[in-house]
Amino acid sequence: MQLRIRLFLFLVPLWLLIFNSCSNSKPETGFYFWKTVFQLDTVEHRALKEVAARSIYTRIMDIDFDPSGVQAVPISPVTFSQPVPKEQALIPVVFINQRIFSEMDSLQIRALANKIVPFVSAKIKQAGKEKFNELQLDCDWTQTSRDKFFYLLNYLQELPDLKDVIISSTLRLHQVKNTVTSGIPPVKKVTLMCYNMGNLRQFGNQNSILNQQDLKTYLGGTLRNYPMQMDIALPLFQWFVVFRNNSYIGISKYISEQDINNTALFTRNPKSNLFILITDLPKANLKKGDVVRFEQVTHDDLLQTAKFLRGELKGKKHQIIFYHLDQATLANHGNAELQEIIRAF
Amino acid sequence: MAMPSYKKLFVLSSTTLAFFFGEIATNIACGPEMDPYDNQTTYYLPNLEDNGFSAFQYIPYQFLYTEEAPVKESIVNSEAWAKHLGSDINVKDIQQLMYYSDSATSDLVSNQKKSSWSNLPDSIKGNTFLQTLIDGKHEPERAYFIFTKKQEPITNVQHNYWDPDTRNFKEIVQYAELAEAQINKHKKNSFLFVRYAYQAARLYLFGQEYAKSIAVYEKYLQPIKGNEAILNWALSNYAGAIRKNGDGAKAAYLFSRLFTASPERRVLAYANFHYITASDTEIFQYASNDADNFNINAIIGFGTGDRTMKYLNACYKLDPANTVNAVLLGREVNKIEGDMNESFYIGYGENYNYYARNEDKSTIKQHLDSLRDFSLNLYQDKKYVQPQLGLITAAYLSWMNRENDLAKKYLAQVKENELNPRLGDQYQITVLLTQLADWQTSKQIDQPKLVKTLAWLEQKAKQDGKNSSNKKEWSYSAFEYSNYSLIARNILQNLVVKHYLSTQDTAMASLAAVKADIFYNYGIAKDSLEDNMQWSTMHFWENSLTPKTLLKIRALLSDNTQQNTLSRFLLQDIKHFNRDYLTELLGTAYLRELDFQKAATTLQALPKDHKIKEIRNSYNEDETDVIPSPFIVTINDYPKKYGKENTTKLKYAERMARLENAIKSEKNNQKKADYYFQMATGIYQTSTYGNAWSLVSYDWSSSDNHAGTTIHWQRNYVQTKSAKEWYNKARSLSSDKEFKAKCTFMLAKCEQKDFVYTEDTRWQYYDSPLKNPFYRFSLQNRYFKELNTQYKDTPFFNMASKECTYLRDYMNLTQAIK
Repeated sequence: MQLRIRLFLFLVPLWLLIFNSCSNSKPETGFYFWKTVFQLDTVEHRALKEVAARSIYTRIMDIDFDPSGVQAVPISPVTFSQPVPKEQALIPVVFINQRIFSEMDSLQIRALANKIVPFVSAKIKQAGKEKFNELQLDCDWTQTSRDKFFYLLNYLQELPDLKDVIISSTLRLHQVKNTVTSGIPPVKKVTLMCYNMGNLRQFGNQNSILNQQDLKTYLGGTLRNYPMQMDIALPLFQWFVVFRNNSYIGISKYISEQDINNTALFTRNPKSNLFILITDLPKANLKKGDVVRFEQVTHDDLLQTAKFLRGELKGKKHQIIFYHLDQATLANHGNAELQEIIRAF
Repeated sequence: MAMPSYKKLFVLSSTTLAFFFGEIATNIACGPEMDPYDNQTTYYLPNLEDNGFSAFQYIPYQFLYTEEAPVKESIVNSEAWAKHLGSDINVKDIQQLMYYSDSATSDLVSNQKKSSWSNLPDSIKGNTFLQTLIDGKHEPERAYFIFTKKQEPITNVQHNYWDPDTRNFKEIVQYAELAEAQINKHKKNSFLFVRYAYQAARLYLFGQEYAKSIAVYEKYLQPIKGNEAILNWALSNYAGAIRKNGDGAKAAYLFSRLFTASPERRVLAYANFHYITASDTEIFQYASNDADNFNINAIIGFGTGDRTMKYLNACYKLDPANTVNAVLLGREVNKIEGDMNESFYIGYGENYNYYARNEDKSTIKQHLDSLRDFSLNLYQDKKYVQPQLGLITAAYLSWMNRENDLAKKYLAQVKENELNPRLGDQYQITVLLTQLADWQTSKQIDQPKLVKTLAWLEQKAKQDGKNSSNKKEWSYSAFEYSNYSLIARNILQNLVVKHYLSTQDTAMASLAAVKADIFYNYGIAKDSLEDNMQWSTMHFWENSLTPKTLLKIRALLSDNTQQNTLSRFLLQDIKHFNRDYLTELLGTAYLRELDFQKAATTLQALPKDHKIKEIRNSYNEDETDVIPSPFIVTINDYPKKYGKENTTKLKYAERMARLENAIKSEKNNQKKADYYFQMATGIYQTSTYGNAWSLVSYDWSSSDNHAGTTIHWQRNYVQTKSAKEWYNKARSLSSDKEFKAKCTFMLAKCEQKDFVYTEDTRWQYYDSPLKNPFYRFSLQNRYFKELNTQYKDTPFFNMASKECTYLRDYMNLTQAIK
């Protein structure tokens, strides 16, 4: 063969290689939608556009026991007040409370799978979409429910109705570290939930949503070895965790940042995220002496997280999905910030 | 809400502990869920006014007192149609066609153009409503009827969890538009005008077009005056649309109006009101007159579980004559009852009450006083329709507060002939309560008078029983539909039984307990005595009766001349009793008394084929039979070692009696010692720790061990005291070292039974035996010391120290110390 041709043939793969790795520079993005009524306002539409979101991972339903505690049924299924924008793909997510598996045998698991699929398909249509390419199952499985959940995942992949659909699963940090006890879900890809990593109910100064310490503990050195395509879910939300007599009593929906910064109501424990009520707060049904831990995710936290994960996921293709698509949550992070985070990967 | 310790005991014993020991746990009462109706220690009738508010009587643990609506909407509507169409229409026919016919029938009906009804199926041919619809003179009505049936498939949708909700809202709205177009084709405010408007608003609501629904109502329906039922239903939908449209407070206000105005939608209004999150202040803003304020106060009052005078006072001030005040008053009385009235279950013991009893007594008394003042005020004001309600309630409250003389004083002022029937009944009941209170203190009771009132109460309960046959079959509560039964049961169980026990007339108490149980069946006695007993009564009979009491009971049951007025009443309609069961029980009672002679004589009277109650071993699948063998000696109590031959109660009694006699006449010390040893073993094995517990007890629980004793025979059943005495005797009479070693070890076993668990120590988890107080107690056993110092060289000791881990641990410990 002529030298020029040989050179050309040698160089083509080289150029392709270079272009390939370049095309990995910007990950795809998406949002989780986790409310029971699908309706988007201007802020939310804007966010989708600004980050060029490809998909909206929408919670279709929870699966948990009905009030009698006997059978597993859809809880609070989503309703679509408006169709999902045509620019984004709708990826249905089904949350399963792992406790339903305790009394189920394989026949019942197959029955459940065969009920989930038509339900999800009908909901997709209500959202104005004809079909879906991916179905995500979200289940914080335990050692006892692991095999049954994995059975469900396997079985779903065998259903003819889902033959063109990718089944994915969520993954929590501890499941990356403890693959021996947690197992590796039998799916094509997973979404790593980089949030809710700390102990929410424990009294203290921690940030149970996102902290670098836990990330390193669970993922350092192990994430890179996870044998599967992985998307990353990042938190944008914040909340107010309430304690009474050092005991967890819940997450309050009736407090705002304005409230905790109001020195007539709260005294801040210096250098911490703890705020003590100095008077009763009837609108939130709280009493003097109650302590609120304000947990938030700052831009810096997210950048640090991105950098860390980039180190672990070097060279691998992944999607960034933000939790979650909601005007109040997005108020904490401007679109420019989100773009910066995406670039940090 | 903390579970009473007794129930906790049973639940835990049958699951955790029984599992842990892997032993039998028979007759554990892990019953169904608590029955909220049974739970009420009440002597106060609800529904003293028949005003359709029965769902809102006070009942903890349930959202409503009853699910039954006071009035059925389908009947109200059918009656309205009947009125509109003419008097020869049968209301039931309308109801049938409108509400109970299937879609095929309504399709068929819809397609009838002329009166070619000879082709109709028999089932509806004679339907007068149908005949009218298709007679050619009622085309508008027929058109309306067809219209309503056409939309049913998309509006009458059953809830199914797995239905992804494919409701076609567009289609529903289309129907709404059709209805709206029809409104003005009818004369203003006429029958069909109103109905089409109603449908339009309703369909817009179902189609989620709330603003349109509101607009239709406000334009066509709101201006119409009058109290036709359909206007209320339109109001109901209007409130719903307002709620869905985001104005919770206004919707709540509207629901409060609906609540008072419409019996058939009362429960719906109540549920909606209480699910809306709006503050009271916001809702009151919409109240424009006294009636509005009354409605809101009443509906909030019905939803309040705390003790409060606030809503009762407010309602009374706004409308003193309103019978809703009686319901609110009743609720407050019921709340106090929960705190002040004691319930007494004969098998469970004193003060077994589901309610938490750590309330501040003074707050309760304060509330009682406020309520009593209110009641007296109600009486004196004479503004309420039945002012004497206040007087009778004040009397009842006083009785509850143990001010019996004051109660009687109030009752003396009552003019009986002016009372409505229900209030008259409450008067009778309250009088009876004061009589019973007198009885507690003065020891004398006018028996005929007491029986007369109780019999009257029984009649009332039986009447409830007849009426209940048309209630839902599957109701698990005996008292949901019969407050007379509940009150009768409470009176007998809490007052009469308790009184007899405190005066030590256990026989009468036992019979009164059975009579109380009969009210679980509306006061209708079953033929056989035992069939009437509830578990706790049966438990009491089987555990707490002495031979003396049993003989007295048997006499009362068999011999009419032994009876008095009250006992005759208690045993009325009971035709027979199981003589053998009673005989066996008597024999068992003698065994517990250690009166083996009498036990044997009694049990000999039983027929040869007499079968004792079946005892199942439900925890060990290998052994299905419990075969008592009371004279075998075991080192370890667990696992229980049974015998091959069934030792009956009679055989046991006879052998023990023989041994007893032998001891008296025996001269040889060793033989005597041996007899004592055997008797001691018999006692030990018939304890809860042994294999022959079924000879003296009718049930066994794995938490009986080391429990506190409450009944006299538990000194042996739980503490093996007589066994200890006789092992001691045996040891002192013998000079055989091996035998003495054996006795000493058995004494050690008995000594261990002195340990008593408390509530806390029993259920605590100990991660090391050394932390377990029972274990520590066992290792300090003085007989272990004796074994170690005096009997170490015996073969028996050798065997025991290998098999008994406590002894082994003791030995190791002593070694280690050395």
